[in-house]
Amino acid sequence: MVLTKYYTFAKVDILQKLMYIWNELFSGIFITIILFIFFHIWTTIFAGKEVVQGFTLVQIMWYFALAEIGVIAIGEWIDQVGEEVRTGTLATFLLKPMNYVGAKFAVYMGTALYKLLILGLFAFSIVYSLVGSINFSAEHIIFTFVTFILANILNFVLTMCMGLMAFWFEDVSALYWMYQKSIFVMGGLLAPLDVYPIWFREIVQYLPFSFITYAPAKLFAQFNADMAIVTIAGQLVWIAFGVMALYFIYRRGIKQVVIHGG
Amino acid sequence: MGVKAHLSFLATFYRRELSSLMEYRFNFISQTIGMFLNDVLWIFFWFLLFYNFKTINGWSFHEMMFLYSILGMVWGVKAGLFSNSNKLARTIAEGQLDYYLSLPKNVLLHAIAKTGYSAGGELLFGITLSALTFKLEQLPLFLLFIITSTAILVAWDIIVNSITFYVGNFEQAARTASNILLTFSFYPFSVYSGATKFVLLFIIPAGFVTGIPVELLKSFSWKWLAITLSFSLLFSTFAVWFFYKGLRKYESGNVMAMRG
Repeated sequence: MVLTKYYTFAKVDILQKLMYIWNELFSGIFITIILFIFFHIWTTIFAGKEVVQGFTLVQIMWYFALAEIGVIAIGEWIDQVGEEVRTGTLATFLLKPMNYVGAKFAVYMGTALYKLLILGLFAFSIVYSLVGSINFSAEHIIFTFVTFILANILNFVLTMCMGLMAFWFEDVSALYWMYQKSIFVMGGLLAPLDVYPIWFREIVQYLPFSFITYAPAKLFAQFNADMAIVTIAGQLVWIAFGVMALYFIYRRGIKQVVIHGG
Repeated sequence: MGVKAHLSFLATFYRRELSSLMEYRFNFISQTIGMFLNDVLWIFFWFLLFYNFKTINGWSFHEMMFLYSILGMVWGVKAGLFSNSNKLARTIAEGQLDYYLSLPKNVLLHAIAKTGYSAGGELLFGITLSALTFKLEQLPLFLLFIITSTAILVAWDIIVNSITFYVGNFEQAARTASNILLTFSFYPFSVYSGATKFVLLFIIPAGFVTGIPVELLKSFSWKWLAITLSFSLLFSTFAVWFFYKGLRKYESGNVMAMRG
């Protein structure tokens, strides 16, 4: 019963998006272009070599497919949270028998799953047509899916923390740009961490960014049961830290809300 | 309007834009720092990638510093002067061109002129990186490319947004098209050849925004300089022609609105 209302939020959001499914065509075109650029760059880097930094060209392209879906799927939803905090729209949620963060989480996860399906269709088709398939097993798909979901939960928790910083700062978009670029570089969106210098890799592999993009995409490209366990453990630890921070920020922030009548 | 009148109009316009930005000083400063660090992370990525691979088809980290210097400056100038160029589709679709049509100023120039918050950070990054990258004798060519590349980026925005005149709602498609040109400009141009290279020069002209300027700064060629200048001029002229041709099809939105 408690969860039904949040499920309804996610369902309504997906139904709304289905009404405008053609909008997804543009995200699809964009992901196709990105994968096309990466294909050219990495074909040049491979230059006839079978393996580069532990990846084959086929594996690296499937890596990018999942990494890009994860990031493009979410987009810049933080603007909406920042706007709701700044304009006070958030106050209307305080009157409802539901939690603001919970409602946002339901919508966020609904969007992530919906976009995984739609963008996946584009990304996997282009990668398949460029380099062919990689071998999949049932456990491979299940573990990748679980880590993808946990990565999205972690991303939600961290971006929500940033969005709620709007209680204190007028504009949180600059904070989000830096977070987004950290995902690009330290999260392994632009290149798997394996191609970076060892000193850098050893630092960033423990940061939350790599658990959001790199780890699920690497599992997708090169499945390994041990790595799956380590990834899930790492994601759960970071989610736990993130939730504590989110709870603290929300409790402190909500005290800043001043509600006038009318 | 003559050239002098245009310049005087723009000087007054941008003075007001600047004072408007300064009203929200905290936003301006935080976005300037944020955008600067955002760009630093991009160049840091290329540093990391080239740490192991050294070159990608003849381009090294040094060429990427050229590329990001140009991109930072061009994006900064575009955001500083014409940040509404990629919002033209919405302005047309919602009938808000009425406001610009009713004034005795250049409609297109007035509709795209706007100073965005991100300009400061981009310019700061562009100036810092180019000071570290360029030799003094390269400066004239670099400044010339800032003009040609900005002209191409703005012209592309005008063209893709003006399609709205013909098809109605084209806002999201125009935004995607705008992003596509920019995205291609972020990566080394040396990885393309044959038909792809041709498309990226003459259909989606990302090659002229960063790729060819970097090649020319690396090894100069009169032929490619002439091609770049001619293309930039022709492409910009076409964009202006295309906008005014579309404008004949414009239907007023009959909108009563305050413009802030």
